[in-house]
Amino acid sequence: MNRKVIFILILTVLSIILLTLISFGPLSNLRSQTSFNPESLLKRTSPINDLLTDYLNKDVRENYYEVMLPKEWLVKAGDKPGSYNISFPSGYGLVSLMDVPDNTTLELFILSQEEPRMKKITPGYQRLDYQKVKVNGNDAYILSFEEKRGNKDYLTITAYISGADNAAVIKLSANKDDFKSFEQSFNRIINNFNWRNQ
Amino acid sequence: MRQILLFVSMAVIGGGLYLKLFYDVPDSQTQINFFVSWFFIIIGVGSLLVNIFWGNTGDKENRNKD
Repeated sequence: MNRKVIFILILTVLSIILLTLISFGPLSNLRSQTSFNPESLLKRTSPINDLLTDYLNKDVRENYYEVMLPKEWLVKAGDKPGSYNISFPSGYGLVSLMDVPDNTTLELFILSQEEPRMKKITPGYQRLDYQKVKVNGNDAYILSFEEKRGNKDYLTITAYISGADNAAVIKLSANKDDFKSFEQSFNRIINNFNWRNQ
Repeated sequence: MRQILLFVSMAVIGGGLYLKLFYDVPDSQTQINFFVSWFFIIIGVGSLLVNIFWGNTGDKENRNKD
């Protein structure tokens, strides 16, 4: 074994150690800064509306979906696969997937499991409205409620859209005082949601 | 034997580059894709270089002896 080979082997081992640190260890921040691209999920700008940006989510093929969000909103990939965390002035939101057990329907699941769960964890929860609608041909259930965050009151619209495998959840909250100005955007986001699993 | 190792090294590099550049990575697996693709590339390049340099000095020495 000559010197060059020993040097290459040492270099390779060091590179792998560095790679492990960058991938999973304390240097992982470096990777997310250099290659951070929350809009890696961003596929194309909507031709339909210049104000909206099109996010095409891809995780499990059955659950591919497309959601359009206003360009100026901050969108990041969420912790759970297939989810986005959204923040915007005077509000926040979440788009995610929800596994509905096979032995129940989405509506029953929302009313018997989801809403009671939210009541428990949401301070000042007060239901305002519940309705069944169609979103691009899919059954959807829209639950509106009021909640308290700190000293502020928020109004939240949560849309549950049934899908082939999982259901999609679009949760959008805005400060109660500003809710009127966001309501139209919220409805447009929900109505533009589309499954892309064909 | 050397040619086989060379071929395997090239295949490993090719696999790493494929994962890095062409593979459609699910959103939740970008971290593991980053690690695996670079791991393949590093191992592939490392073994390729080792393959090239292994025994070169020895050959020269042997030739000098002759």
